Amino acid sequence: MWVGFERRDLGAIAHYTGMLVASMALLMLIPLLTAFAAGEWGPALDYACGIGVAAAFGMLLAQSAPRGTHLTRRNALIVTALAWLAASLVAAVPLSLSGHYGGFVDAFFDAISGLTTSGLTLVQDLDHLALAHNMWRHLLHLIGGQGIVVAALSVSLGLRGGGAVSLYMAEGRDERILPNVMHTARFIWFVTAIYVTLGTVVLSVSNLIQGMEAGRSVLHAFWATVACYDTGGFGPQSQNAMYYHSPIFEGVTVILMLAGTLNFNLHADIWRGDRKEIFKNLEARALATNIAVLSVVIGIGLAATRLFSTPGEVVRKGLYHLISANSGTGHQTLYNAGWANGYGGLAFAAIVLAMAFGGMASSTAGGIKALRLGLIAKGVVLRVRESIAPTSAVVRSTYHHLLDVPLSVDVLANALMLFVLYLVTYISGGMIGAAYGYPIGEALFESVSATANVGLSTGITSPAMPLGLKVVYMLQMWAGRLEFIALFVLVASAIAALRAKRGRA
Amino acid sequence: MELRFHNPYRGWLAGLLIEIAVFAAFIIVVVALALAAARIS
Repeated sequence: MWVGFERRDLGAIAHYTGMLVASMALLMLIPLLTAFAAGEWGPALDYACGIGVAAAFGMLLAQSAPRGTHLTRRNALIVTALAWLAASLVAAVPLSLSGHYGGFVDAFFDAISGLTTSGLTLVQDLDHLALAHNMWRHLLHLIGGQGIVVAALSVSLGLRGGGAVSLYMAEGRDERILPNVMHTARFIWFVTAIYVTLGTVVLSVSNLIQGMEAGRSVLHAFWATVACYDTGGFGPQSQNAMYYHSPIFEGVTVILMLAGTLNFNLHADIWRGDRKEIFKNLEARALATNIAVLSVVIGIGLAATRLFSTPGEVVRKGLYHLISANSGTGHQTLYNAGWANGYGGLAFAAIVLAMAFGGMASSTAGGIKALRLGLIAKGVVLRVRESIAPTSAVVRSTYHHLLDVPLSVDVLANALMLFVLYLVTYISGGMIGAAYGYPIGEALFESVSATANVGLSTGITSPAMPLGLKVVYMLQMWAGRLEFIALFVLVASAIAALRAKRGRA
Repeated sequence: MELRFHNPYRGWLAGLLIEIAVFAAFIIVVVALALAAARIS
């Protein structure tokens, strides 16, 4: 049933969206302090402006309803869809003022890419970007990876009460780890804090050994850790991970990518003492099988090109990109342009498939998700077993995901629906890219990378690409991160509101 | 930090080390697979 909006619905939506936007003003204090510490007075002014805009815009919206206003499930989905856009808009203000973007649209593109942990970028002259701006770009990964709602919940930013649970569920997370949603949000941050601290320490030491200056070592280590653990893909250098030329850096970041793509429920289970869950879990098995099969494909594909001098080099480059693609990170140790014409069709196909499949649900990764692929595979096996069993036999199937669960038609239908939605979006984006004149293969690569929030690129994503394609990729990154449903609810609610208005006229 | 349900802090360090060990073992397995594939081709 299509239900129109009442005034109190709009008030509640504006209030919660405003609170989430206002939280961006608080977060901008970090790059502001970075700018002060580094003596970057121009960027400091950029963040002072950003804080002013975010605080004013957020607080103005938040006045629309009193604190603790009840939020229905539908309204929570709308708030989530709008908040990701509104937060990206205010996040783009200081980036736009940096002078490193072709215009506000390019800065908005980077803000969406950062928050959705995609990693595609339109920044210009990245190697000379101020520390404050790099800090902000990577913080966007950190906040977006955990979820804007989770970030706000964990500091209890005016979200206690009626709206907290609805908002948490609306942010593409269908499972609560702990009974209390606040505790769940804090647990997610606890896991993140441990990994980020550990990654930063190890990579700082690695950078110091490589000869990097101390302060720079720590900053680069923190940014690389955040970008990999939150499966983002931004880097402070235009050469991305290739800049470091370090096997230690690559080994540590691969572990961080795998940790980032692990379902937070799995982290919780293992950290609570259930050591065997990671081996029994359908999603973990599906992801491991996926990476193992594609690692063979990329090994064969890259070796056949004869571009690399030894099989070891093939494996080092191939696996880094495969895990980067599968986890939705987008860090790279090869040049972009090679995917179009240098690394061969087989490696290209392996990377596109890895990006399309994605990591685990309830993690920072994007894509179709290993759980859904595992469920669909189970569904196919079930159908085959039904077909060969005697007519009188009742064939049932179960799967293990934290618990032993019967494979129901509802679960399968939901997995297949999202599989189809991702597939349609991947292909549509590819066709739009081709319509703009790009080769279809490269356009598909870029479309999958945007929708699955990966960030690997064949070189199409650049400040020079057409405005229409920038908008398409922004929509794909937004829709992919929210797993479509919140976006559809927003569109359906807008249509319902228009119909109700027309009915009254 | 209030995390009392099933005492999630109990053994978090062991859990973390197990995760890292599983990731490292998995990387070794896929490196071996990819290396075998690269040598064959």
